[in-house]
Amino acid sequence: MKILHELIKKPWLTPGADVGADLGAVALRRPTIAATGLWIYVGVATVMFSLIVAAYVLRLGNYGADPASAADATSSLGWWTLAALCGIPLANDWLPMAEPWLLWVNTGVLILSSIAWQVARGDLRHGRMDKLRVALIAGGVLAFAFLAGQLTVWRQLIADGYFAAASPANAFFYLITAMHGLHLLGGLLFWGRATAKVMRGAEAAEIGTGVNLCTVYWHYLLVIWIVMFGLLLIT
Amino acid sequence: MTYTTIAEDTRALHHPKTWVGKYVWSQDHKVIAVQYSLTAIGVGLVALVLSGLMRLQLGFPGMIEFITPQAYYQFVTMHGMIMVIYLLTALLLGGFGNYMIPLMVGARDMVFPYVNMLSYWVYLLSVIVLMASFFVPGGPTGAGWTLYPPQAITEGTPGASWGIILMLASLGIFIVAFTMGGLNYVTTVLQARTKGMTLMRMPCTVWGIFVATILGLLAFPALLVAAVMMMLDRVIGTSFFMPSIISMGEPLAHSGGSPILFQHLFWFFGHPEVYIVALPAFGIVSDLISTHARKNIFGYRMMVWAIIIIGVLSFFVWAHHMYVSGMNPYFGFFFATSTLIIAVPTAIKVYNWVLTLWQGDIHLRTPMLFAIGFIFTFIHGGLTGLFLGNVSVDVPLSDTYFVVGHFHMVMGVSPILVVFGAIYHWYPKITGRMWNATLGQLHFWITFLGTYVIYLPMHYLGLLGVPRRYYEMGETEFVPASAQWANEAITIAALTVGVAQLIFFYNMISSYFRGPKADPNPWGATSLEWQTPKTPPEHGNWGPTLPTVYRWAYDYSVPGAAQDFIPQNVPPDGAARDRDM
Ligand code: HEM
Ligand SMILES: [Cu+2]
Repeated sequence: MKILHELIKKPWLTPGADVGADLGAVALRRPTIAATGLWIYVGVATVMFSLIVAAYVLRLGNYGADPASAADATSSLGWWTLAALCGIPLANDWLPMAEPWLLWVNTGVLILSSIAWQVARGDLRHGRMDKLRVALIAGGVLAFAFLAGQLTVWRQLIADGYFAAASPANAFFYLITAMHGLHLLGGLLFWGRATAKVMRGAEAAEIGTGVNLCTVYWHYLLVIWIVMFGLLLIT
Repeated sequence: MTYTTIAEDTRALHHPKTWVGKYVWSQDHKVIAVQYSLTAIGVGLVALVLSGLMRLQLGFPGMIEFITPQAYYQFVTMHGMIMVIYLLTALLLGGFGNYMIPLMVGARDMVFPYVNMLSYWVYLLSVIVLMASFFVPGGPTGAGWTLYPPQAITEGTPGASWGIILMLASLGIFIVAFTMGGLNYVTTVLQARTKGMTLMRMPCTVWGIFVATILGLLAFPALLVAAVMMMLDRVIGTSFFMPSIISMGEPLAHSGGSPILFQHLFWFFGHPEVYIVALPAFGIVSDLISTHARKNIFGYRMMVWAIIIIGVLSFFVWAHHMYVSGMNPYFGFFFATSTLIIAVPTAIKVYNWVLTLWQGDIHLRTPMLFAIGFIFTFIHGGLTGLFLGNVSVDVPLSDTYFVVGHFHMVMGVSPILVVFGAIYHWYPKITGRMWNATLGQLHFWITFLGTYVIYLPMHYLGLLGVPRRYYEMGETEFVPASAQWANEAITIAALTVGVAQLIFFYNMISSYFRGPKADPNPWGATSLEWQTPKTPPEHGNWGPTLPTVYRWAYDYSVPGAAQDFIPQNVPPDGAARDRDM
């Protein structure tokens, strides 16, 4: 691995300029910097969502354990084993949440939004600025539609009495959708910037980085959403 | 792989014309660093005053009327939280990280200057929100800096109405600020190093700050998640952490949540946090020692690897803070083992510092004194840490003054000594002036010796069984009355050390206006920040062309060289040196 190779160098033996091999690629630098920033951020967000998943699993308690042994779920193996190891007493108050069909629609909308970005990226590569404009707007509008859909789900759930305080499953649902939505909103900020530039007739080179990185970020948030949605469905 | 256009392209820098643009809404990493540092030191002074008040209560119980038991809890909490997060984390990463990284790796600025500026202002907001909690009904939270539920949010704990909400909000805001800064530090190190600055030619300071920032980026999300969940428990009545509970005779609406879950999240952040403040200190100390001993750092590669290994391991030891909370014995065994393993790379670092000093041409200037002082306090705190890492030893010592003594030594005093050393070391570069050496020495000796008078007796009190976070001991069978004498002595020493910091502030402030003009490289140091064309460095740092790096940062006392140091940007004279130097 390159990094390991770097780390076993003995710098005191080799004075000299040691100019990197890719010096010629100077023009490529800006995109690399932004991409590095994005990937680091994706790492941070992944840690955060993973910790929410961990908390979720630890809070499930003995939900799903064989009713016969539910009183002492520790005797069999399951996610409760993890909680038992951590010294977390197994709760038995997990009530599965409703799974409104609208969530499936929203998921579809988010997938379409991701596809729109992918298309935009292709248009960009081939310099089709007119089509790029359409795809960009579609990507953004679909993302807003997803957020509106999520809010509608919230309103329906509240109307049906699925309050956050009523069950940990509900609480996690609101927490996860809120966190995910906020991340998407952050992405829309960058979408706004890229779109404004395109509308003003910017060249492909000017917005290339923005569009590429937004696409990556959108796909990332889609994956996160699918994992989270899956988690809601199986519990 | 280290060369960059924005670093090369001065036009990309945003050059403001007005005073406000230069010093308030500045995007220059050096100005942001100073803003971060002054804010952190300002709020740190609040924490210092709080510790003085606590000590007054402990040494002379009841002497000061407004220190009620509630107020004492609030002081403990705010003192601990401010010191760890709003002072040390902000100062070492937001302050030193901002100032040093671009200069030491030869960049013109951070890679995302605008985000860097936002980072400071959001940090300031978090400080303001935190300070606001002193003025809300009920005052700041008194839950202890660990904020353990359920008591953090149940009635009866001071500040359970407003204080805790502001604390959680402030932490959330701080984490946003830190993430924005952290993205900058890491990306700058990875992508904006100048020509020839390979990873293994970076000074240890940059390595320490770099790895600490990565730790922060991975650990703070745990605190964020915990803070958000606790906020929901408090505000809308969810039960993430709140079990069924009877409070003041009434059952609360919560049920099924687990306080232990919070503890796991908190310490998954909390232990790496120790290294977030320790690793930058490790890095800085390595550079101070090497520079002022005129010797290359002993085992540079080992030092870098140790930083990385400690960083990785620090994510696998968190539950050693929870031995008395109850967990599976195998779990406890695992964490005790990993805790002891982390001592190995840490000990290597200590040996290497000492070996760097060995037969060095040691100049006992003020920065060096602080660096050596750090070695003492850090060894001390590290050794007591070995005791506490073992379950069977920790159980009786847990929550006693032994723990208070331990963590103040290892993560309170040690990084603070490094911070002082670093300020003295880089002050001439940052301000262009030199401080008064006599005052510097005086400041060091009072602080260093005072530290021992304050914290050594605490270990003994802890062995007697004096619990931490107690407003007053009252009568017990196991604590002799003479323990109170120790408490009085500690208090007197603490107040003395506290007041002695005025020497430091006087020295820094008066030197800023009246100090003699500093040499651009007064210590004869090799790293790039000392080679800037102007002192203090201007916006853009390097004038028209970036420096090229030809060597590592530790070419001190090279045999045959004209001077006893060769700066990193001095080209080699052809022949590579012998490997046995
Ligand atoms: C003159 C310097 C200092 C003095 C006199 C001092 C004194 C104290 C005192 C009296 C307590 C309360 C002990 C108790 O009742 O349990 C305390 C707690 C604490 N201090 Fe310091 N301290 C100082 C500096 C620092 C620094 C630099 C740090 C940075 C890490 C720090 C971190 C903490 C923490 C984390 C706690 C625990 C708070 C809690 O129990 O919730 N202190 N300190
Ligand atoms: Cu720890």
